[in-house]
Amino acid sequence: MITEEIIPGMQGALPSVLATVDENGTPNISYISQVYYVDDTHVALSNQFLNKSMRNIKNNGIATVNVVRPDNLKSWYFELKHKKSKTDGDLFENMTMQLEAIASMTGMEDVFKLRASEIFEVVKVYEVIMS
Amino acid sequence: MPIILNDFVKEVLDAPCYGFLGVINEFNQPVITRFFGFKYDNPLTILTLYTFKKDAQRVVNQLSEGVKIAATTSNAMDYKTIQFKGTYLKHYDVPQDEMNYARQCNAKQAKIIEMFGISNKVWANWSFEPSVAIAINVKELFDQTPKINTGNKIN
Repeated sequence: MITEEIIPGMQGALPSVLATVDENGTPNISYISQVYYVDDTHVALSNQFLNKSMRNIKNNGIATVNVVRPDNLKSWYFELKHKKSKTDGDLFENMTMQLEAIASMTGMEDVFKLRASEIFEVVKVYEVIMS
Repeated sequence: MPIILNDFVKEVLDAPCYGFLGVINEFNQPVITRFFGFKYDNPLTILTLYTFKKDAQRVVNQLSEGVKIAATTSNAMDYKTIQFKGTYLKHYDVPQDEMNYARQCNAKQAKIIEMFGISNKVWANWSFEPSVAIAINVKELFDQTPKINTGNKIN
């Protein structure tokens, strides 16, 4: 489902957009630092500041993200289903290291701290229609 | 009730204006699209966002009276970010006078993007001529700047 063409959009060079929905049907849209490639059908999102988004995800497991390739700005929407949160292990450590690199590039070293890796199944992928 | 915009909000809104808006579909799945440029008044009641019809179609398909909409925009230079929440008011093909305004927003954004090493040629592929305006009755504003305990309501 996640093709090789998409993977460069998952290096954290550009922030991604995360959309969730609450119990009243109100969407919530926030920026996130990482949509990390786990395998062809799974991604992990970096949870640094997610409050409302995580309440929504814990409530219904549903999310949509947008990823963008920095070299050509091609981008995709992923429809996601939440599987689990991880706060240790190789995946969490790898995401922590990548997040430290992102923080260094963006001057956010004092702000970015990974609280959890949120693992999702990728249900659908749509390519964003360019101009 | 109209929302009086404070200096923080005005600063973000005066920055190059690009972001995402979203609704939910019949499966309770968020569907999102990007916008370039917006129109607003201060005090704020109605926010109009300029989108690209082909990419926005999944969002437009869900629009009807009372549909809840969220939109988030950020200043790429300092990461200050605002989220608007409200309900759908109307959508329409972008008339020429509003098209010119949206083009100006797009041109401002292109200059910022170039500072991030993205060429104008690449930007031209990603940006678009606005074709559908989506107007929202704004009810709430949130500060979503990346920081601990972010997400506080502004109004």
